[in-house]
Amino acid sequence: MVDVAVDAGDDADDFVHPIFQRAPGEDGGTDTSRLYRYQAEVAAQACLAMLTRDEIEFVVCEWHEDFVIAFKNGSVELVSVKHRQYHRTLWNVGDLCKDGGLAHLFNSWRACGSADNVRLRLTTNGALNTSKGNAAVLAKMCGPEPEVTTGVDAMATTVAQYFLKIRWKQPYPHIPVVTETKKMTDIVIPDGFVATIKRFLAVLHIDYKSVPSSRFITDHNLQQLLRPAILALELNHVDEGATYRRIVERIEQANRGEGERGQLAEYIATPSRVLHNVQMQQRIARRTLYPHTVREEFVYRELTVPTFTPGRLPMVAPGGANLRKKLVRGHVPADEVAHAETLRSAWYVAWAEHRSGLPGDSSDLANMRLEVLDTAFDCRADAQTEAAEGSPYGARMNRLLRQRLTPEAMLATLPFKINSKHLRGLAYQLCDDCDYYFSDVFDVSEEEAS
Amino acid sequence: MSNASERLASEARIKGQARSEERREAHYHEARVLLLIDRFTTARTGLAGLTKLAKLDFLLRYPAMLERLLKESGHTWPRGTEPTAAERRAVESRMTRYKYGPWDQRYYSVLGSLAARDLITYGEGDRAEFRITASGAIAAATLSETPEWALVSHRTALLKKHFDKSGSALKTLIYERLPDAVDRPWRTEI
Repeated sequence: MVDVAVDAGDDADDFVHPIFQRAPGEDGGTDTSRLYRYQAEVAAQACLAMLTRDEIEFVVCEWHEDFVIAFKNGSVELVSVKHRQYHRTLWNVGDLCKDGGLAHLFNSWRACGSADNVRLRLTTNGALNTSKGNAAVLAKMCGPEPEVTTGVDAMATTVAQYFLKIRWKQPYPHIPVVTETKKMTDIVIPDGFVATIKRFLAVLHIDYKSVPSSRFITDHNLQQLLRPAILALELNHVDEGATYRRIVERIEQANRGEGERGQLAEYIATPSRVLHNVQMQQRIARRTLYPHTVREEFVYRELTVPTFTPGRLPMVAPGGANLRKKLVRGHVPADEVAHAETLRSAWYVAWAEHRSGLPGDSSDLANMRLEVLDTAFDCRADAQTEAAEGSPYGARMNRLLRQRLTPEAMLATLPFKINSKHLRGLAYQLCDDCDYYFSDVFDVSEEEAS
Repeated sequence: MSNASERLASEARIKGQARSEERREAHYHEARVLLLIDRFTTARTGLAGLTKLAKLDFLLRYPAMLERLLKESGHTWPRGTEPTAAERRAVESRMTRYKYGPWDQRYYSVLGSLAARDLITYGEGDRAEFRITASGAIAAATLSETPEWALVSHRTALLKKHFDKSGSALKTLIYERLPDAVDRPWRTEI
């Protein structure tokens, strides 16, 4: 039962229904989804990096907190993401091993045969405990060229003991099972395990210094990764917000690929990356994002080219006599004839000014012409069917053209975004070129335009 | 003539017209790109990268834009190579931003056609390098002597002299010096 404070004032506009004043009794679902979103946004950093960094081949989303970055040189980086809420205390070594996912990363690394081509990364926004021999020191002991090299044996022993303790409760098959003891320091460490932990630390990187929290990660990714990528790729009219949302949703979709927790890193780490298991191939494929997959999620804000160039008097395109004669023969009203001519000229100018000027324009235009022509013939056939035998149908055909010639109805594309008026202008140009009539076919050279 | 046969005749006419336009269009672009690659091929290197090719070609197609870069760098046009009145008007009347941008892939057909006729070669690897062949060099020399292409050929020499930079450097130069040529909200600095 949640208490509700009813505070309805006299003014009806100020009244807030009690339902909106209740604090949710249990907000776990929201927290969980926020956490998953954060993890997807960290994975998005790798996906956005693919757009500008040639060395990354693909990213595989293993599970919500894990993803794998595969590099073109055959190496892979297994990444584990852990978000730390503000109210939580600093990470200490034990937290990092258990809640921070180091034991999980260690298990994945061992599953990959501790191969030389595998690197590991723990990304967390949580602050590390800086006290002597604690988490911040552990972070400095990691990597091929660690900042701190003294006390590594003691730290590796501590980490080994934490892993072995975690193994009592967690089914990590690549961590040995040892006899349970009351005190952690009494745990008997198997021979060679500390040395293995030291090798693990040498391939590990704990990324925590400038990792944004869930409140700031969206803005960080937009500013630091998406915008520079758009600039580098020279893309125009990208809707940054919508693009970013779609990329993150695509990652979440990859994360949701299966209900069962995946362990795909060991397959991806195989240097040849050749899989003979078709089921596993398909499973990985569903979770894999390539640079082109990310590019497909880009949302564009296309600007339509105006029908008439602003600030300039509309020019008159060459030709037009045939169009006039055909519209008149089809009994199209005089004002519509004049408007048709205006649109034809507007199209002429728009194409001349906005074509790309590079190879491919001609075929783009030809495809659009064919589609417009097809629509014009359909309009003519329908107008003819609707009209009484022998009656003029040009006016009706013109109205049908207006209804049906829309950019949405066209499959062909041009180097610029067009509107319905451009399409009608093109249709009238085709008519002027004698591709179709607004009446039965006649000899335009003998007809006098009125 | 029935509606159907009229439709077929019109479609055939449009397709025929498109074919001849495509041929004409391809020849025009191929000639210009050939001159550019010829100019940038030396004994040791060729024209490195599609981005560089596209950016140089942008400046070649829009001499009014090239003129702005030249002026800013304190360079002048060699006598007789300045933009014509028509070329200046063309840039003023066109929204050039639509001519600039992710158009690089449109060069594939041009380069493929030149390579297929043994006029250029392009290297394998991450960054393609385009080089003129012996027969390509003869074709470019012949072309340069025609009145239609002599001016373009002179302008490629100007590009080689002042703008023989990497594709990335040319891209940055165009973005920074010709912001109106690219359709981008320029104030969204990172």
